[in-house]
Amino acid sequence: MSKPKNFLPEKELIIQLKAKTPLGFDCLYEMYSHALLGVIHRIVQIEEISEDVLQETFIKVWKSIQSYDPEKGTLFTWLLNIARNMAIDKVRSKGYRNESKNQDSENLVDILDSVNNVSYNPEVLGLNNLVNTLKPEIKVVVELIYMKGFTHLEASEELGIPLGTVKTRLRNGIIELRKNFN
Amino acid sequence: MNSKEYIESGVLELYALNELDPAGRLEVERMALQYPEIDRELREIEKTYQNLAFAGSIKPKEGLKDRIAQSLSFQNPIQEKPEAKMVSLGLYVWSLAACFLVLLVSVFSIFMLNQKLKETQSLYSSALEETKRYASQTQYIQNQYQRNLQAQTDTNTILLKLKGGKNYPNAIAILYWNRKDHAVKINPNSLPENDSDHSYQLWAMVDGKPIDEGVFDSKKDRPSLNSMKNREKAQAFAITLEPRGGSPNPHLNQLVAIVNI
Repeated sequence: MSKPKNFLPEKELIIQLKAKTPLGFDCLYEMYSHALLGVIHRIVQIEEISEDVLQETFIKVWKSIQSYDPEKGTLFTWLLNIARNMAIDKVRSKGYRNESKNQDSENLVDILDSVNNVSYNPEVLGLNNLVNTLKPEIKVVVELIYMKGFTHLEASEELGIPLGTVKTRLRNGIIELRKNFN
Repeated sequence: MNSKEYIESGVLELYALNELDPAGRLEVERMALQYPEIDRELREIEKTYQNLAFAGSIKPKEGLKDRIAQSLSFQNPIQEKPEAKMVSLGLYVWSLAACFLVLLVSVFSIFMLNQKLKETQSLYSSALEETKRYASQTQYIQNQYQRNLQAQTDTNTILLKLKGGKNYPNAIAILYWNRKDHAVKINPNSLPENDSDHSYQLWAMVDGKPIDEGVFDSKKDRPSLNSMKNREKAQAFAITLEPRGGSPNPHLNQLVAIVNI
């Protein structure tokens, strides 16, 4: 992770965003656009569409920043969920399905890796390395839900395992991954 | 379900990904409010998602930032920080200077006022002294006046007028003699002032012999009624001018005034 050029503490950034200033946008973009594009791209997987979704995400953020409540979570969590929802909506749209109907969800991770490594040159490959250290049955749940944007119901159906198992495997995976950052 | 089981169910991981329906979300928020450990765990999960997202960052292409910026509408910028800081610093310096100036003026004023106060205080205390002195003098005079009045108006008092001898034709002194308690008082009001080397001395002539009655002074600015030695009987009273403090026997050539009874 390289340090963003323009940086504001979260409280200041929120003030700037709520005032819709150029400085607010500049800092928001420099601080979070890399991470958000990664989130979007892991779900959408197509470079141009990912960029469109990132743009839509910023427009959505710009419009709804007044409704952000710091009590309910960090700014990034709020941004992350907007980006995820925008990306998931995009994936479920008709136009997107036509474009990528051949893709098989069981091979998603391979596709993801190939996309990241070959066609898109992501800045950081740390996430894949971290996820690859997980046990296979946990890894696949984390990939489907966290990275690919599946709901836990979809993951349960996709993998043919009970809902409760999906939840606990996701949790175990997140706990394992958390250890890398402490 | 206790908080530990709730955490371990994995529901918080879904909440942080906005994967729950409104009812599920509400429940998590309620539990997080009720159990600090659930709130803490939720924050940890959020942090982990953030760390993972940064670990999976993808650098956007050049030009995307401008494209996105063009699709947003901006408001007037909030005053930029350094500028705001400079303004507030300038204001701060001026405020500080103004405060300092006010402080200086205040200190100076207090000093001057203090001086004035000291002057006024000393003036006041000397005036008070003066007043006290005046009051005690007045009291003294009044007492004396009362005593004199008493002596003069007592029905037992007789009033004798001593008249000037050969050398003192104009001298007059008034003697009050109480025949009951035998008190003798003399008012030297018309005797010439004596100097500091001499005293007037009153004598009582008893059976042809002069008996010392005591000394007194005559001062024009301090008229007084002098109490002399008590005398039961006398045929005459005489005043002589004697060396300061009086003599055992009168110098008759210095007879000032006399009265025969």
